[in-house]
Parts: sequence; structure tokens; C-alpha cells
Amino acid sequence: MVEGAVSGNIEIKDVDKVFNAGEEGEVVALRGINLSVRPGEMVALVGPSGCGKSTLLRLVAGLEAPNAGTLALDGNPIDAPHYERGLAFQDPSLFPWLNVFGNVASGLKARKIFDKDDNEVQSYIEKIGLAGFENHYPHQLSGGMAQRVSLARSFVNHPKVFLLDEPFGALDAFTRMYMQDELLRIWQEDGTTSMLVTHDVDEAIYLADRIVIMTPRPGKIEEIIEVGLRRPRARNVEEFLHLRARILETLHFAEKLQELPYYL
Amino acid sequence: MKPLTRLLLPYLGAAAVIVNYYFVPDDSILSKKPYLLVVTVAIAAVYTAYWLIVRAAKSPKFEKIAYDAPKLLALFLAVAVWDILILKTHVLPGPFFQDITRILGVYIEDGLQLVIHALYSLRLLFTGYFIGLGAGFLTGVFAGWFARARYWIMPIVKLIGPIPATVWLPLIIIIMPTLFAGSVFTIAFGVWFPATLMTATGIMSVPSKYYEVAQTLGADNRWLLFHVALPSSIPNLFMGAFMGMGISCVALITAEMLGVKAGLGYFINLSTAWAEYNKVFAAIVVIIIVFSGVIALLFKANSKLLKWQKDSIQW
Repeated sequence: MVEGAVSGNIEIKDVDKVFNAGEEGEVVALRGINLSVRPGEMVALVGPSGCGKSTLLRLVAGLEAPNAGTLALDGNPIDAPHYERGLAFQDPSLFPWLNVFGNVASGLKARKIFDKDDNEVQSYIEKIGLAGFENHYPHQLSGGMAQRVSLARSFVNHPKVFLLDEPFGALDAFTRMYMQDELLRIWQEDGTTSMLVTHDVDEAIYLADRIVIMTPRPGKIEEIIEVGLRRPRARNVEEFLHLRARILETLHFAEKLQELPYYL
Repeated sequence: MKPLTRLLLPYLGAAAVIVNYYFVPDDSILSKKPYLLVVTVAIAAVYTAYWLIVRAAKSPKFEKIAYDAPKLLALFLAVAVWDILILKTHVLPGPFFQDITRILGVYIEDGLQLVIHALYSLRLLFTGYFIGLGAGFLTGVFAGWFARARYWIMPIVKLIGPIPATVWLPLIIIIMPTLFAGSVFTIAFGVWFPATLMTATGIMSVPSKYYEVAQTLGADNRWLLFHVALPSSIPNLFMGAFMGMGISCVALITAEMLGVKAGLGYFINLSTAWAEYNKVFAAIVVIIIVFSGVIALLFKANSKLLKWQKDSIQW
């Protein structure tokens, strides 16, 4: 939690989301979701595939509408996408026809507040360590570089909420850890409320203030865990491993280990 | 083969052309004009100067020249074989087939006329082509972006589009006020179909993630159209432009052969009527050069505009 953040309070109340899956009938993606995210907080959503964590993020982004319940940001109902709620996917989804500078500037240009004498875009390119790559096109970038551009493209808009859908899922282990530190650094500077969808339990513990554990069929919140570790966090201390065991247990991945002694 | 050896191959071909034409006996009663000698020596001289300069500049293009040298040899040999088949052995009968010197003679004696006809052709081609491309782009954007426009436009495109543009020509020539307008319309119509179809499918197949990202960045609908849908579908538009160029060239020559009183197609028709088949061959060569030049220009524009693409089409 970044202290002093005043805006970026997300309220999710009794949200249901149902998808029409053709012949299979209806699929309940989310049922009775209640979640409140405080300003400046970083919340991680973890759970197996099909638990609706990405759907929940898309609802907050305004890309989907709930079938029941309400979502609000700072008291204003969420009914459409808005630059106050920035989004980054696992696929960096950079605009391939724009170079790095064009991509980072695209938010400001879309909002018609781009000022070419202002070096805000340039400063974000420097912040993500890609100075000198301004004129490169996305196909010339590595996966990690592309993802950094994707993050900068959202950050430069100064959203109140930052929604991250497995942003580092496609990166190799070392790049991922490096990117996690990058994200933490920028998050602590800007104090933007963040919701992070991940299937990596370690990533959730390392980054988040609270971890929302979700389970599928229908997608619902199983448990919310306060991480409570001081930053910078070490990945190998006892509390970290303890939290990890507890989360895996909630997700029913740790049972077999406990049962093991009975068979021996 | 060593690059230098490869470089020398075309000289063999040039020698074969000259020796064959001027020194191998034949039953021609006409005096041998020096055109073939001049042109062959000129080509060899330009070629020599080119590779000498490139080699002196230590440019990497030198390897490329050496690599392509056998093709120049093949061109010279083809000329020699052509002359053997027609002039020396009469395997291919005159007057329908004419030796290279008589074809070269057209450029030297009637060169200006050919240039003027080529310019007429280009004027007709580009007028029709760009009108058709622009109209196709507009209808394609409408059909791709607005579902209601798509509902009405796509059936028309699917019904009328695949019909060869030249089918309409006889009708259009009667209906339209001038032959030029009629021909422009025919060419434009032929381009309009692929341009519409490719632009529309390009816009419809923009990955939704780009729209979603743009929306969360603060884009309105207008921005989505002009800054996401359009740039994203430019590769498709070029596909339509290439397909349209092929159709235009066919429509152009047909129009000129059917009624237009100028242009390379008309020139071919006229020369056939006068049994001047050397002019027919000369005009065909000009058509080859003009059309492949136009396509090459299109590819240049393509790779300049689409430098952001990883694998754009190569020419």
C-alpha cells in the first residue's frame, strides 16, 4: 500500500457475470463478487484457470458489463473503458504500426493532450530503460522490452487504477523477477491503485498487499489474505514460504503433500 | 564459380549476338543495319562501367551483380537464338516473327510515337486505377466499420465484383460520354472490387485487443477508426492495390484494343492491321517494361509505408 494515495478506490458489489457459451448453455464466470480495493493498494487475484480472475479485471476495465451488481471507481459507476483505468495484458499488444515513442505517446494522443514540447513521454521511456529505442518498431523488441513499453504506455496516462492481466506470464523467470521490481518501483513512485491477475503464487506474494484467492465453477472469492510483509521482500524467508503453503492449500494443491505420511 | 568469372559471362553472350547476326550467312536481301551492334555494345559498356564502379566503391552490391550476371548472359543468348530461329533458319515464319534488328529499328525510327502511346496508356491506367482505388478504399472502410453499410454493400460487392471488368466495356463505351471516360470507368470498376473487399476484411480482422487497449488509453470511436482500424488494415489495402493493378492492366489494354484511339493497345492493333509485326513486338516489350515498372513502384510504396511490418511482401 502506498501511503498518501487519495484516489483510486474500487468498490465491487454483488457482481455476477454470465457468458452465453452456445450449445453448452450459460457459463457462470463470476458469482456474488464483493471486493473493495483501497487507494494506492496493490491487490493480486490468483486462482486456477476458469476462476474468472481475468473476467473480473475486464469488468473493472469496463470492457465487459456485469449481469448483476455494481462496480465503481471513487464513487463513479464503471460502465465503459476509461483512461483512468489503464490495462496491460500478458501479450504486450503494442500497436505494430507505431514505434516505441508512438506507442508510449498513444494514450496522450488519443486524449488529444499530447504536447511535443513536453518530455513526459521521453521521461517514461527513460524510466523503463529504453532510451535510444524510441524509433524501434515492436517487432524489433524482445518480449521483456515490449512488455515494458506496454506498461509505460499505460503509466504515461497517469491512471487512477492500473489493471495487469498476467503481465509477466510470457517472460522467462529472470526477466520476470526484474520486471516485478520495475513494477514495484514505478508503483511506489506513482501510488496507483493496482489489480494484478497472476497464476504465479510467488509473484502475488512478492508484489501484493492483499491476495484474493478465487476458485472456479462458478468463479467466486474463496479467501482474501493480507500479506503483511515489509518491502523490499525476500523470496526465501520463512513467512514468505509459509504464506505460499497456505495459499496452495486454499487452492487444494497442497493436500496430497499432507496426506503423504499416512501412506508411508 | 568465382565472382570475376561470372562477371565475364555476359560478354560471351554479347559476342554471340553480334557474330550470329552479322557474320553467319543468311538469305536476307536487306542490308544489315548497325542497330543490334550499337545496342549490344552499349549494354555491354553500361554493364562494364557499372560493375567497375561498384567494385571500386567496394560496395556489397558487387556480389549481387556477379550473382545476377548469368541472367544477362541468358538474355543475350535468347536474342541470338531468336535471330537464329527467324533470320537464319526460318523455323519461325515471317512476317509474323521479326528479327531483333527490325524490332530495335522501331524504337530508333518510331521511338517518339511509342513514347507518346505509352504516355497515353499510363494516363488512362493511373486515372482509372487511382479513382477505383480511392472509391474502393472508401466503400471498404464503410463496409468494414459500419455494420449497416456492410449489410448493403457486401452483397453488391460479392455479386458484381467477380465479373471481369471488361465484360461491361462494350456497354460502357456506348453509355459514357467519351471513350476516355468509359475506359477510365472500366478500369476503376475493376480496381474497386478488390480494393473494397480487401479494405473491408482488413478492418474487420483487426485484433480486438488493439481496440481494447486503445479504449483503456482514452480513445474515442473516431480515434479507433483513424488510428487503429486504418493503420492496422494498410497491409490488406496494399493486397487489394496489387490485385487491382493486375486487373487494371488487363482492362487498359482491352479498352485500347476495343475502342480508345491511343495507347499501346491501340498501337498494337494498328500495327497488326498494317502487318507491321516488328511494331507489335516492340510495343509488347514496352508494355512489359511499363507494367513491371508500375508494379515495382507499388512495391516500393508498400515497403516504405509498411516498414513496421516484420514480413512484408518482397518483390
